[in-house]
Amino acid sequence: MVWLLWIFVVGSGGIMGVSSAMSLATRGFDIVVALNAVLYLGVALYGAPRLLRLISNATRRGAR
Amino acid sequence: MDVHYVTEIAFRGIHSFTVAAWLLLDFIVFWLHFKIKDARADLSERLERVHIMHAIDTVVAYIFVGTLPIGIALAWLTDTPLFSTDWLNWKHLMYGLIVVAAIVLVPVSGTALRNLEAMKKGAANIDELNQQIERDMNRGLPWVFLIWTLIIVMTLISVFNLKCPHCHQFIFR
Repeated sequence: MVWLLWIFVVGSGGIMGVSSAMSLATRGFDIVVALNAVLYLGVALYGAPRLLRLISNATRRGAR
Repeated sequence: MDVHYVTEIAFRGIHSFTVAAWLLLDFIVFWLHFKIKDARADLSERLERVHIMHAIDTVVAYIFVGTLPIGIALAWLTDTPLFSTDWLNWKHLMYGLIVVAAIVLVPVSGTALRNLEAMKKGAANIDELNQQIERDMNRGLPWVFLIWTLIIVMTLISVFNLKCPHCHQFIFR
């Protein structure tokens, strides 16, 4: 479940955050879209090191 | 009846069902947590409940993860622009807040399971483990209430923006 959580947080956070940021760039400023971009990119950035740690631990275990 | 219409109705049904199941299962987890954090209750009973809670949490996690892609597919099927529709942007924002709440809440169920199993194996620091369970569960409660509130508000937003598939008129406003 921990894999599911961090893959989802990073994946959906990245997609939704980047899409919201792109929408801001193309359609102009909107406070709700700006908040979405900050929130989703924030959770993606928060989750990225945790997901990378999971991947590196799994790789290390696999190498052993 | 055309295929597009049937697909749209099916996705609406699945989306509504997942949210209803999510809320219902959250209520069950909430009800279970009272006994789990009760240090005076029988250990085997608490362990049984924490296992049930953990299993329900896993199902809720799958539902929670599935709700977003199903919602995006539904927006595509109903020709609703994903990032330029005001009410949908609000729903995205609330879903994002639920993601934050989920990040906070996921370790709570894990702590309870780990601590209760340690107690079953004969850990010496029972009081400390019980306090940790109660503290973590009580800290999680405001986030649980936030999730319920957001799900209910998101449901109301969706209901008041429902459009009749063929006439494109709002159904409830």
